[in-house]
Amino acid sequence: MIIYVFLFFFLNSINLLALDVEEIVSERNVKAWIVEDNSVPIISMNLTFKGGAYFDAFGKEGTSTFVAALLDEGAGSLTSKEFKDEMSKLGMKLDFRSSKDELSVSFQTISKNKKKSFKLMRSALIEPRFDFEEIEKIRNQIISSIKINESNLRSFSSQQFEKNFYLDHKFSRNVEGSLKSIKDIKKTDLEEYKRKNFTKSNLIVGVSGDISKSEMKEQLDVIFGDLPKGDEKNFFINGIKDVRAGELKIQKKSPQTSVIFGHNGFHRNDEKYFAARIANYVLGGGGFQSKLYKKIREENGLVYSIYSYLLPNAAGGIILGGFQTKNENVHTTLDLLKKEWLHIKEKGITQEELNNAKSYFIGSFSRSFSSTKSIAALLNTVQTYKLGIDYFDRRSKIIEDLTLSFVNKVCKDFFRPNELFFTIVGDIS
Amino acid sequence: MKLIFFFLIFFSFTSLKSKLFDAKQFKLKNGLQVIVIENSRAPVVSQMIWYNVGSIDEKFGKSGLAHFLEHLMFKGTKKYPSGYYSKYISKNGGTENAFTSFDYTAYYQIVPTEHLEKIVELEADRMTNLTLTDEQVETEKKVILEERYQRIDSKPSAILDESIRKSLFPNHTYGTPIIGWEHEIKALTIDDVRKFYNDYYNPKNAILIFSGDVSLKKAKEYSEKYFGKIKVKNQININRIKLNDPILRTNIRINYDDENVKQKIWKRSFKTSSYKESIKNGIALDLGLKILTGGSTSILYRELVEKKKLVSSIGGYYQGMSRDKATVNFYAIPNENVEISNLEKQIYEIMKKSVVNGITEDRFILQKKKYEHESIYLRDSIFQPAQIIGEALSIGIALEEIESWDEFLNEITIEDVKNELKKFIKNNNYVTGLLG
Repeated sequence: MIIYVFLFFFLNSINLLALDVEEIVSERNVKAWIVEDNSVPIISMNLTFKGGAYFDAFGKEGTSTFVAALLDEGAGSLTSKEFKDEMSKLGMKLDFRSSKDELSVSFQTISKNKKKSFKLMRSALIEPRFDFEEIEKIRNQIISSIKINESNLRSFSSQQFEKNFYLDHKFSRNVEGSLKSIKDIKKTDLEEYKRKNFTKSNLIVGVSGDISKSEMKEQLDVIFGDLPKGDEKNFFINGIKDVRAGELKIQKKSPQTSVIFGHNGFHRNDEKYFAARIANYVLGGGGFQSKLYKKIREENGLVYSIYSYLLPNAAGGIILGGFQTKNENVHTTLDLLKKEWLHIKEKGITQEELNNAKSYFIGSFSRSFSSTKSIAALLNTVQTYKLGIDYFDRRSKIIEDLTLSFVNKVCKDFFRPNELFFTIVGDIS
Repeated sequence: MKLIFFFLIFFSFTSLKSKLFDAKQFKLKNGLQVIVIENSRAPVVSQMIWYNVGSIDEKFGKSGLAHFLEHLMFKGTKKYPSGYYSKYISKNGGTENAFTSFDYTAYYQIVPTEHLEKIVELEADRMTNLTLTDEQVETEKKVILEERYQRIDSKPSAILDESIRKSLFPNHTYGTPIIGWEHEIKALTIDDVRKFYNDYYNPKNAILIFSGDVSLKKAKEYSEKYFGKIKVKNQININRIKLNDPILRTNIRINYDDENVKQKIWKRSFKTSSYKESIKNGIALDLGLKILTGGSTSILYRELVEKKKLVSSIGGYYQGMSRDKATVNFYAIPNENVEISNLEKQIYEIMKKSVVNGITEDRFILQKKKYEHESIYLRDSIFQPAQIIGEALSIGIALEEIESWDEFLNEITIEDVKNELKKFIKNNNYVTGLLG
């Protein structure tokens, strides 16, 4: 019996202390959040430079995507081939992508090769070569990718949504650029982007895995120490003010119509954010549980998938959703969708829905702890949105404290059926 | 005495090291095979159940049935009506889904540890107590048709893939799309579904896998308590007709183009031997193909993307985990004005030359090393090991064989790799597709 009680407490305390996050700051002032985890001999690091495609020059859209794609194409004394072979030998992985508001790199390595891997990573960030041959190779690949995305109904409709919804905000530009802008990008544009945007002041780092805090602290300087300091105020991203509402119809021959929809939302650190997130979980977010899923898929068989989610980007949040349906079903589906949007605005959610959503969000957090890769990504996200290192402890309470009346008050302001913008792409003639 | 002691330590050390996942297994009296992969780093556990049935088992005219049943498995039982299971998972922070393939149908849930027992109960319940109404079946049929329109009919590259596969497997049911042909989906009935469910959803025909924060003891307790009481419904033995395809003697080319296609894509699918036929040969082929065409350090990529600049990208991979014949799939994105016939000739020539002088000792060792690295990365996930084991067991590979994957790898010589590639290059069982 005593043993049983002891075990019980022991298990509980493990649950509570699941994530031991610490902030480390190196001598040369590089900051990172770290969770040590020695269960597998690997190290995962997630780093982002704030800005991403937002800082692409006009007429040179796609520059950040281009720079990201060149990060494993040769650096320092190593050519592209040598760099990649070295990565393979070390078991090091590097994934990078640019988005509307950040350029992100996911790094992983086998811990026994950490020192060499970190040096290689440093070289990629500090002294990328941008050799002519590799630039042309990547240019060609981005062009193919733009064309393939244009051929795809879903990605084409998403692009059309962004292009029109954000009006003249920089977020309206395609992250990959256009066929024209990609052709116009020169080596100097890539170097300029790297020089301006790879700085300590807009860098965010999350690390998890088989490395001690003190060693990681030293290694932070090896990797990032030589980055220029930069100035935080150069990385200001203008907020989204006006966005488009109404409908945009685009004719495309296809058996289905793809609809992307959305309207303005909240910043991630808005005090109403979690209430909106809970409400959206009930409306269109919660896997097989949402109202949109139940009403439109399960009851009426109109779609295979329908979803909505909060996109908390740096210029301000939006709520975004999408579905595809047979051309002749579009109007019926849109009517049902608008009805649900109005219903949640006017009636809010029920106590039971709130309880279920709360327990979902509290319970699901631990799934982010199941790999070093997902932990590193989580550490980065919490820093990106400035939620504070105590967020991991506070999070449950933030959720528990939400009352039904507060959530439903937020619903009233947040869901605005009249402001929805729909991009409707399909055989609509 | 000392010597033996030393030997024992050495032995246990190597055997420990060589086990890929260190999974445990046991069998219930009713035939259900249970696998446990313990990993307690996070208070999360996944349950997967793999039924040894897929689109391969569908009778002619009934395509899409295995996948249809997969959707309907979410429609509830007498004790736990429609929506109960999903709601239980969701409100406790879990996640779930299911997938159907040619050879298997699998369902999984990932939940916080303390909810494991309940989901074992719920999964066992729907193995045998599924209730279906005509209305549920008819509405879900609409959903599946929308899924088909979304996944295949509104995607030019998927239309092409479907056609390539049908031509590569003209007689075997592997040529039939998993989701089914549109007209046959429309004709499926509730009776078809019920019969399929009764025939194949049996403890004897399933593999249950727990992965994550669970002990062998708990796994035994729960699976015996809930799955153990299920009787094998009909004492049927599943007799699969062993279908084969004729040798493809004609040169098969498939072209798909429509106004939405903006980029040409070249594809070629080969029919080849599977891991099930020989794990060693399968690994040797996989190794060789990775050197030849796996990613941006491969020989074909360096020759055709970087040196000759014929394509913006090229790749190929072996899909060897199948009950019957396996496939190798190549793709290339040709640059503008590149003659496809020239591209094909170049690919062939480079492959032929590489077998003689491209598969170097360095490349071979490096590729082996990559395998070792991958097996380390696999352990950083609770879900992936379950996925790999489930797939392999479903097609008929034993757990011991998966666990000793590294031993197979160690046995393989550079000559084995070259031999597999030589065979592969002579393989005329292929279909070529062109998009655009």
